[in-house]
Amino acid sequence: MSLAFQSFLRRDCTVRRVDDLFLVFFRPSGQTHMLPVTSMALLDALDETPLAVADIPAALAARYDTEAEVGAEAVVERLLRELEEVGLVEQVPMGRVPEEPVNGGVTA
Amino acid sequence: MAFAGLSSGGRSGRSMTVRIGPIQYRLTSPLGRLWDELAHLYREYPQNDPQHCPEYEVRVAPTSWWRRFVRSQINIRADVMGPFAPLPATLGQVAFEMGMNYQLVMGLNRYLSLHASSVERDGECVIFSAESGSGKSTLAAGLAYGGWRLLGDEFAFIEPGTGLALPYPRPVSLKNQAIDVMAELAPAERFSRRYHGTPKGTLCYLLPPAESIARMDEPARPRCVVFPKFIPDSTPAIRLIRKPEAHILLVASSTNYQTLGEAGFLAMADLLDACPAYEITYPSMEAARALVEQIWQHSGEMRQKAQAAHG
Amino acid sequence: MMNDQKPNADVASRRHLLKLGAMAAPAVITLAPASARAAASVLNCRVPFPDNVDSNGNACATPTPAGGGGNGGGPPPWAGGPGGNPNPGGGQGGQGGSGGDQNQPICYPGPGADMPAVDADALQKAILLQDDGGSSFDGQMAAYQKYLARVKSQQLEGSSCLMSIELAGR
Repeated sequence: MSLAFQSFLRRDCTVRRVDDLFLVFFRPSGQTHMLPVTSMALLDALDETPLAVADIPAALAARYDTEAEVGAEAVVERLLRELEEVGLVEQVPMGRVPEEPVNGGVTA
Repeated sequence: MAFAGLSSGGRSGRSMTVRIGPIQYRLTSPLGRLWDELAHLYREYPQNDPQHCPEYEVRVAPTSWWRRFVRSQINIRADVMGPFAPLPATLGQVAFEMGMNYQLVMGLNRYLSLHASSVERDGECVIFSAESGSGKSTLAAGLAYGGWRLLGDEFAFIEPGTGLALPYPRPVSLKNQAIDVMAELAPAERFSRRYHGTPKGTLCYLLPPAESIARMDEPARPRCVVFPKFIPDSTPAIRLIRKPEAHILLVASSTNYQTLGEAGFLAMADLLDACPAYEITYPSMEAARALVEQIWQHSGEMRQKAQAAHG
Repeated sequence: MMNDQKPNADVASRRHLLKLGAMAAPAVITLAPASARAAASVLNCRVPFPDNVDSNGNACATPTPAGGGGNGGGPPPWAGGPGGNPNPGGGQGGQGGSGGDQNQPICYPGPGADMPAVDADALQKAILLQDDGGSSFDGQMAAYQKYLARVKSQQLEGSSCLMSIELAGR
């Protein structure tokens, strides 16, 4: 079973744009992160469906109406590792039904 | 306007409540001389007002019965306790100020707290964010005695939801040369006595102008954020800081950003949405005052342009 | 909940994605408050304080009294204690030595029985406030700082906590 990644951007995060970066408040950890647009695009793409790493560059390219680059997969892997460390993405086994969101409306 | 109605307190000591902006303290001590100093320093602050509940209690008392007489030592007992080591009784007022500060640093989470000073004009304020010992208190005091209203020298409190900065115009803590600088700018009767022999040298407390104290219930809308650096003999300079950098710097300056969670995140994001951020380097109070005037003008113009762009 | 800041329509994002292969910047930067409060809640560590600390930063048994008598009170419980004979010229005011053996380090009282250990958060805050000039006393502050330095250098109980505070605070 191969691994895929997903995020819970809409459920778990509050986002504010600051110049060309994004401030993300991640409710499960209570931490604030600053992300460049590429990371943000990744989180956004993974928010809808878990994707295998190999499929992510093509999915991003389709989303932004551009061409997937050679070598993009290695970059995506690195980005995912960093995002996973802070909990913004998580691994799921492929074929698993995306989680039903639990009550994400917990107030601070 | 001081009220004379201080309780005698009996053996446990004399006690009063004093309000600084939105924070009301109960302050207690059985030591007569310290009591007189405390009452004198806070003579212009609202005291013993039954409409406000004291939120924090700070008590300064001898460490043991015999310490009233031999190598007099006091310690701090407060609602929010810290690792307060005993101090010489001659520094009792310093103990009160430290205890009062500590209550807010550790125990106040109604507002987003920034380690910053701020001054107000026409309902808007400048927030000066800098590390301890950088001169932000002296800068605020110098501006307060140069026509601005002091909102606070140690903390800036940003109210979540409204984004307003709430005043906390406590006596300004000055050290060493800063005392001499301000002695040229403020009347002598506004200063406490000097407290000598501290690791940082000599300390002194300066009452803000009477108007700053009297208007402690008037919040202000933040207009700009400034990161000041005092560098002797430098050329005065201003640099506009990009917002992502300002976020990183200002989050680092907040004592409770993370505790506030999403409320803190939104308050900080709103603050920096609305306020341009600048860094200034200055060699003197006179230079700093001029730089702040420039920033005031510039930030006003930026606000007008932004409003025009968004219709 | 995501607000309306989606990058979908962002022209800049296409340009960035076109450069995906060359991207070397970090994927994410976590904003950190200078206060150790956040770190401390994760670290949950404490630094034990001895009851009393001497001017070399070692734990000591009994705080050094001043000269006996003072002005008006009774004699201290241990008149003529480890500092030698009471100094008739001594008394209250200042933190001078005991007037006795000059080679004996002065033993300062600690934070008190109700503060035998302090957690990382409180220690960081207290140190920050003391750096601010908010707390000030000769001898005692130096004694405590020496004690903390010993904790770190000799890796006594609490050393990893102290080092974590320093890391979190930067």
